[in-house]
Amino acid sequence: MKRVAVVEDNEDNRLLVAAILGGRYAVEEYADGPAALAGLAASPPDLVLLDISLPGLDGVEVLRRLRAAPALAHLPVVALTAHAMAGDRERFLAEGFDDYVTKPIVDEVRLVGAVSRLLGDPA
Amino acid sequence: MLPGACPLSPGAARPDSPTDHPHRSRPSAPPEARLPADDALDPAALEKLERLGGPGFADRIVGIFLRDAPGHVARAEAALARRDGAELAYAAHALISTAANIGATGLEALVRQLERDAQAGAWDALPAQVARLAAAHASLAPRLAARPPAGDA
Repeated sequence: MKRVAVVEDNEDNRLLVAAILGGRYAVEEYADGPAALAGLAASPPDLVLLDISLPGLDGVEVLRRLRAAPALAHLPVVALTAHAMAGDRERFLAEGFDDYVTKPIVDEVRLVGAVSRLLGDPA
Repeated sequence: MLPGACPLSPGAARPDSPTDHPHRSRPSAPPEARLPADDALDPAALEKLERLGGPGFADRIVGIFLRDAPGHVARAEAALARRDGAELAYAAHALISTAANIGATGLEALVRQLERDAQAGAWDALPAQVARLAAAHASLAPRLAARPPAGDA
């Protein structure tokens, strides 16, 4: 089973992601950026779901550090964000995210679609 | 069940709750009439949680709201008191998806606006918004705590 890491400080959102993806993927949870960077480096997953508004080290900075690490630079990373403002999609893609999903994660089809597309799995 | 709490049931959201900001209850406020009350609850959200996560999942998510929301409200109040816009914005942001996940539609709308106004430094508007946040939470928490277990409705 492919492994998806979710980096998200809100426990309810981590549980929601695990509930939606759990039947298809092994979901690994991290509550903050430093823990995620350490865990991902020790055992890289197949894909990362990364909250933008993490306390301390935010999602954009975590992404920059992932992209700077040779062993992790190739990982597909999907931004999770509570913001859905005009231009956000372009901004996140320009930062180096592979896709983004808005929170609340009310559309599980969108989340499953983004993950399966990037992993080459059937939706 | 908490003292004074009333169980949540479909239709139990109180759009004209007296704990809400009173101007929305006035019939002469048409520009805001389409907005949900600050303490509105959409039962469909909890039903969807049960569908996604199975029996008991909505209770887990509600439990996290009941555990964490008081801290976020207290952080917002403290940040307002010391005029810390960044901290106030973060406290509001932390509630956005948590509120949305449980169908607290009015609270979600309120904290989205609060985050934007805190980031913009709209200090004239922020005290009333934080007061509305506290009132909405005070109304929502006992109703959520007293809701019957999912599937019993």
